[in-house]
Amino acid sequence: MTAKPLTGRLPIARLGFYIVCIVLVGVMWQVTNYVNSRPYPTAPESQPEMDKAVDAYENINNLLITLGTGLLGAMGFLLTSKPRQHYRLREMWPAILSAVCVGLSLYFGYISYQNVEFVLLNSVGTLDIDLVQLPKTAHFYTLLLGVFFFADFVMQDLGKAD
Amino acid sequence: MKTQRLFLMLELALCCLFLFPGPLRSQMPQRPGRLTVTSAAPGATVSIDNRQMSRQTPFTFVLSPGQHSVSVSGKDQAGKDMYCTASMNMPAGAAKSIHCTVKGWDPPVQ
Repeated sequence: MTAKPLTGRLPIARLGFYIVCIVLVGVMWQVTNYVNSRPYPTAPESQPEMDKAVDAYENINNLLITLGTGLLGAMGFLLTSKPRQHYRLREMWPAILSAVCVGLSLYFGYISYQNVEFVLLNSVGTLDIDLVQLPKTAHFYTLLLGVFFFADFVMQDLGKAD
Repeated sequence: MKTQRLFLMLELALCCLFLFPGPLRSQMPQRPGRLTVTSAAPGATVSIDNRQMSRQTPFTFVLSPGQHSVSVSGKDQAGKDMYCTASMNMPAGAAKSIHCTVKGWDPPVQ
């Protein structure tokens, strides 16, 4: 009943990793296509309002990216700080899911940034359109999911140490 | 040895997938169009895609490329009711203008 150590399944795990990556890239391609083709009629806002909206957007985007990269760093520290400890696959799932969620969060952060740049360059005049709002929301919620899985992994890890 | 070659091919496929979607046109939003809406008397209400816009006529709205429904309602200078509605295609990066009167769009919107 006990699971095999992760190292014993390396070729299968590696193959699985590549397949998951390819599927993820395909899915994200479709998601980006969907976001970028959302229709929007807008009445451009005045410049001071737009400047404030962009400032608020930049602040939250920077904060979320810092939290995401910090979380990945903490995960790396947890995984490498103990001397050659072999995690079983079922113990690794929360860590893997957390890393995937944070990776997706960073991707959505990039897409929303790219679309804000598009809004500014094309004088669309508002950030209140699906083009910006959808990736911005996904940026936050995928990070939240990543934090949840990271907390789950930490709880397991602490339990193991006891 | 075969496994190593398989992994190398998978790595190359992944690199291509990661690098090439970025520059593709579908991964970037298309340039928006501009629609200037005017009416016989200023201050008419404008709805685009069944959403009432926050600005009244005359105003230049920014629209994503594609099909949109536009309607204008208000009163002209003589106090007569004025209502115009149309479905129109907005090409990427285009600028169009439409004018609403008591008799409808002038000139007619295609």
